[in-house]
Amino acid sequence: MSHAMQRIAPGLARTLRGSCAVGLALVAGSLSGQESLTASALRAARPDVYAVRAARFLTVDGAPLDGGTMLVEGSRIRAIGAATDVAVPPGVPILDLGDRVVSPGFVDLHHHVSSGGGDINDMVTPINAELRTLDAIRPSSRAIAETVAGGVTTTLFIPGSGTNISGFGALLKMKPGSDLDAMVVRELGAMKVAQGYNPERRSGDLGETRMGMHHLLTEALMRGRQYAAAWRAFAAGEGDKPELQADLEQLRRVFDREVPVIIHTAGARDCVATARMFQDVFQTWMILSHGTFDGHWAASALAARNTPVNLGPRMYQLTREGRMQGIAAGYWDAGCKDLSINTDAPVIAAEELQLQAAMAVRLDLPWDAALRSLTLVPARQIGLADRVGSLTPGKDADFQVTRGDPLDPRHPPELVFIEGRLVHVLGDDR
Amino acid sequence: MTKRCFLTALALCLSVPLAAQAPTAFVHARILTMTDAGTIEDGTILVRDGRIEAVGADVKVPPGAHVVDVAGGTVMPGLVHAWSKAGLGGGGGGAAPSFPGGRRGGRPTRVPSGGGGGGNAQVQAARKIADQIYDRQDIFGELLRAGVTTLVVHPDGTGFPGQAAELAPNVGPDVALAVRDEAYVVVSPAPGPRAGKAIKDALDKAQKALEERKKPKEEPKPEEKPAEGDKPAEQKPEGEAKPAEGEKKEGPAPEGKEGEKPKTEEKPAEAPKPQEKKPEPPKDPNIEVIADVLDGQRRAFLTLGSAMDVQHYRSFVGDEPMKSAAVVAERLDPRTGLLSLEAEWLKKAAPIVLTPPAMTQVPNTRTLAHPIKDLADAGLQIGFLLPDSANGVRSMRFDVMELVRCGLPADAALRAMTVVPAQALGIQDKVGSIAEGRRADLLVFTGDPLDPVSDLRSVYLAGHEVESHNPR
Amino acid sequence: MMMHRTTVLAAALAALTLAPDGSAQRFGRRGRPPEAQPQAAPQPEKPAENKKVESWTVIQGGDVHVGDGTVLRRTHVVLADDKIHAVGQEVEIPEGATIVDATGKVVAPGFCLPMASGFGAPGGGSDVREGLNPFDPTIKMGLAAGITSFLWTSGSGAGTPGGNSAVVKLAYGDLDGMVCVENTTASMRMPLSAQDLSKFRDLVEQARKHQDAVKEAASKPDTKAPAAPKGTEEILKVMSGEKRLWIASGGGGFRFPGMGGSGSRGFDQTQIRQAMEIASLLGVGVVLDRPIEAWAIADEVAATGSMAVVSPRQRVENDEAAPDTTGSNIAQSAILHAAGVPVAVTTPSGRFGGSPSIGTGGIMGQDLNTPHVDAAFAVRGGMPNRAALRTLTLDSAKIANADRRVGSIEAGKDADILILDGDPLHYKTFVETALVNGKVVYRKDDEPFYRHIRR
Repeated sequence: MSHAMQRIAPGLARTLRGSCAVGLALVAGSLSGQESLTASALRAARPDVYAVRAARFLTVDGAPLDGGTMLVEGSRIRAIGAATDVAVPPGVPILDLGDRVVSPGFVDLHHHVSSGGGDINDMVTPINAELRTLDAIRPSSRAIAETVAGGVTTTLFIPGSGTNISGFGALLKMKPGSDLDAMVVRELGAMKVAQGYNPERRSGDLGETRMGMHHLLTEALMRGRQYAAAWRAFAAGEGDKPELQADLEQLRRVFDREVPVIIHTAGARDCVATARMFQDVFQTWMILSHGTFDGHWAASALAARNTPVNLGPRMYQLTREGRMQGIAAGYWDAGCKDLSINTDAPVIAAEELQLQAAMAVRLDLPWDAALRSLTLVPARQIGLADRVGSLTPGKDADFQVTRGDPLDPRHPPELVFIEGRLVHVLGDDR
Repeated sequence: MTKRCFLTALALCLSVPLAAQAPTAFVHARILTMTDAGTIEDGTILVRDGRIEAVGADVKVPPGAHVVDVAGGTVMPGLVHAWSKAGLGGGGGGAAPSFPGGRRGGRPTRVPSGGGGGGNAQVQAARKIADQIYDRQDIFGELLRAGVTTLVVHPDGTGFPGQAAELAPNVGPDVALAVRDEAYVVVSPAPGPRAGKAIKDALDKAQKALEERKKPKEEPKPEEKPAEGDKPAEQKPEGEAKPAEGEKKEGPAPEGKEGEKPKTEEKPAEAPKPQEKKPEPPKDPNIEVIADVLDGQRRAFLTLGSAMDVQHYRSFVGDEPMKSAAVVAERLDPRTGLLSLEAEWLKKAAPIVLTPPAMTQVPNTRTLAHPIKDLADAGLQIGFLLPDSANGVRSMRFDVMELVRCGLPADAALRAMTVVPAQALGIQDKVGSIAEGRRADLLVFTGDPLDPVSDLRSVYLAGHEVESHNPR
Repeated sequence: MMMHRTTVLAAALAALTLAPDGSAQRFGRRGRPPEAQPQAAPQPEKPAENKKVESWTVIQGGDVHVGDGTVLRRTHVVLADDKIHAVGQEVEIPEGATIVDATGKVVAPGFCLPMASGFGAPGGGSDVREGLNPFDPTIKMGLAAGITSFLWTSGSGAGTPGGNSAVVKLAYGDLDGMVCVENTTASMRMPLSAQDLSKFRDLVEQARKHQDAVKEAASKPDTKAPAAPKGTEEILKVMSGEKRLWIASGGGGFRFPGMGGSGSRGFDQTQIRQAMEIASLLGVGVVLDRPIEAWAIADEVAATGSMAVVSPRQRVENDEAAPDTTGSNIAQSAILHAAGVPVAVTTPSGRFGGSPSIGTGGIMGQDLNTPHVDAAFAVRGGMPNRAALRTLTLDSAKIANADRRVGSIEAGKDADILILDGDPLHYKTFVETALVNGKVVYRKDDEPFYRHIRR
């Protein structure tokens, strides 16, 4: 136990345990002579710079830090380290969290509820690369407050899987009640593609079979690639200005590798087909989502390609031998380490992202891998690792405070911060 | 439905082709006798008037005999199909049975309440399936050509749905004649108190009726049951030729009386005479039939498909169940507990288990389970339930091979298709094995019947070759 | 019988008997300090005297979670056939007893769930034995999840108590061991119309008069007790405690969290208050079947001695006009518990109206494969950890009106016991061994589900 902890224990720890979260008496280390700060004061005062002390920081990009200090400046983490290594400048208030654990805010790349529910499947035609969920977000939605109550600070709000290309999802920070502009990290967070089952068209159109869907997708992707190439050529002074095509403008960004594709898959067949199409053939920046049912059988093929995989909401497959095979553990053991975990909210409540990882651990995914699957890995997969996913200097100060293991459903986030601002206090959602 | 007159003796039917014919000798045969004689490698079977006159390695072929050389082939007894629904499916002849649909896999089939029974179980033990068979149907000939030389059809339903009928497939046209309309009484529990209580109630009544019967009577009993001919223990050698006396013990079912000719003897259930000197209430014929079973005069087939079925039945009848000739397990469903889990109790209920020749799986897994071998190892005799289609019967041989591959002894597997079901039916002295006096129901294979390349070359029913429709 | 006395532990190791966790609650804005909880002392049925014990089993040296919130460290549990014979650190270990070493393990009562389907029980009907399948493969999966019994129900009364029920045990392979108690509950639905309510009042009044008449008859020799007036039979059983009355809402539909929808709020305060009126009329506590807003009037619920079955994570959006007293949230079970209302937890898998069941579709943490996760969510909402185990054991058994038989590890109760590899409510904890009626019916290493998972 660190020196810093010895100073606050045991009196403060007892105080903390005996307190209601709302009034969480976040007494500053009076011994240090620094300004004291409470959570409610922090909420009201919104200091530009403050320090956070806690028994343990799960930094994710390194070993857990016991008894450390994290300095927050503006929306970013300025420094984090052992209490002796991080100097808190005079006058900077300290939020002393006592025996609590600080972890990065979680990232959920398969989230459907920021519209307040529904409104995410436009199913007249199978290819809808011109759509985007940005137009459906309700910043005041209770769903956003509930998501952040689960410690989830970044989400990819993607359209449903009713069509082969259902549109572009917005990458958002879960700031409840705030305005849209403040929430949006990337308007075109990722393009949603669906393979298998859900997008099958049963009304007699092309696309009733895998073959038909494959053709529809390939055709759309070829058009997008050609369109993007034409614009790149024009920009390089190597061709005529292409004719503007509204339905391809967003898709073009995929082939400029500015926006990834997130692909709904169902089963091993779709997983391999997806990797072939989006990695081998079209060489897009991609994330394979779901990967469930017997998807883990495809894991070695995906591991060979380093395919980014975003698992969930199913967490096991009852095998023919009667085994409750953990999906995440199956991928992990096959060498697929680029694993994130999702809720597919509302299939699993958005605030239960931690439970999804906990269940993966129950079924034998290593705990460290599970924590990374909610933080740094999805941040990297979606291209936001420079901002979120770990407690690293320079990154956004998106973090949560729990009484212990943040994956344990018994430990709700008591405080959640996004970009240095306290956005959730346990009890807000009640 | 009108009564068709098919309670005719097989002998009548077969007498024309068979009468006064020269004997037939099957020579150079490998003979699977299904008796203590075991396998005779190069033997002769002498058949006269439809019966086996002699069998052995050194049987002399009488002059003038018709000789069939089966060199390289193997002869085994015809298949005994003890639990069939053939011809009851409504196809052909408009003979749709009124019995409710089959009970599969241990789940109770909700059937309309029968007369005299409680809950959903019927107590109609006196009812006969023979009364519901249309005798001219292709299926009988098809099964015969596939090797089924003894066919017994059974009624379906929960409780005591009635009595099975042994049919005699005819060599010529596709006609089956009921030779014994009281082959066995079906006892068919369902898992639950409704059927359990009804069955227990009927058994208790039957027990009382039996005690009543055994009481010394001061006055002569006019209505003593004269059904000795149906007693399995008293089978006459030519039993199948006996027209089963035409006796009906109909229950309250209305069709039971239709077309009945008055018999010389009074049937209390049909015509109770209140003016008779005995004021005693009329006897329930269904209960009387069950009492016969308790008394050992009739045989019963008890359907229990799973350990679950056994436990439910046992919870009503206890650890000393009524003795049955066989337990019939129509499906080995591990989700209701394999029957082999209750082998010890089963041994008290019946010496024989009739089951489809199948392996199954441990629940929730693909791990193979071999409940048949487990039952055999526990000391029960195994008989096989045969399919009700010719193709099914032909391909069943491969299922049996799989059981043998997985550890069931080959001779037990062959007995399970022949002599064991014959024992269950109490007709092992007539069919199911190759021995002197048996009906000459013979199957000639091109090799060992459990060798997959062997083919069924010909089928003989009572010594008469059945015309093959097999494309091979 | 030969006995020898075994003292396993030195005095220095004499375990702490930890009182129910009384640490403070965290309920958000509407939190309140906990009140003394009326401890319903379970009264196990007396073991049948003179019954010869055929087999003894001793679960030795585990940390025993009794089920009432207490934990006994390094304690032995002695089983005589299908019953718990003794619990303690110093117990007589009978000669020839089968010893199950639970050193370093957690021993807990089998979970008794307030609602479930499957596990070999029929889908409905008037008699649970009809089609009861002791070999149903879901039984093994239920045991793997720690479930050893559950309340089976079929049908319900509408404006008056009705329906059939039974507490069914997951006694794999043993039909006779499956039915624990029968018809210990009845159920009815809210809301009642004014007419139905007045009819109900009349019936209760008739029932009371009948009770008086019976009492009077009993005091006079040679007087035969009168027959119960028609329509009061079930009410009398509820009033006498023979049956526990469950009250559910007949109106309103579930709304998928965050997806809107048009269903009414369902079992809201208005309906709950009506249920409380029923409880007051009857003079006994009732069970609220998944109420939404009971937490908002927890004191009123507690005052009637009533209980609740709750899915702790079920969120119902509140009414913007009265945000602090409507809807439901994660704190609901903790608030009810703190007010003294016994709570049993259930899982979201029954959220569309059916009974929760074991799933095999890959969704983990949302169904009966992990009942302990639902109790964990009660802790998330502020219920103390040890009290939360009661939501699956003693309090749920009480709600099923079977706490005389199951729900805790106490002498005289049924030997339905789990040996766990850790904290009962931790997400990584697995059942290693489950006993029902004193017989081992599940071993993790013998079944395919989880044997590949090592601690």
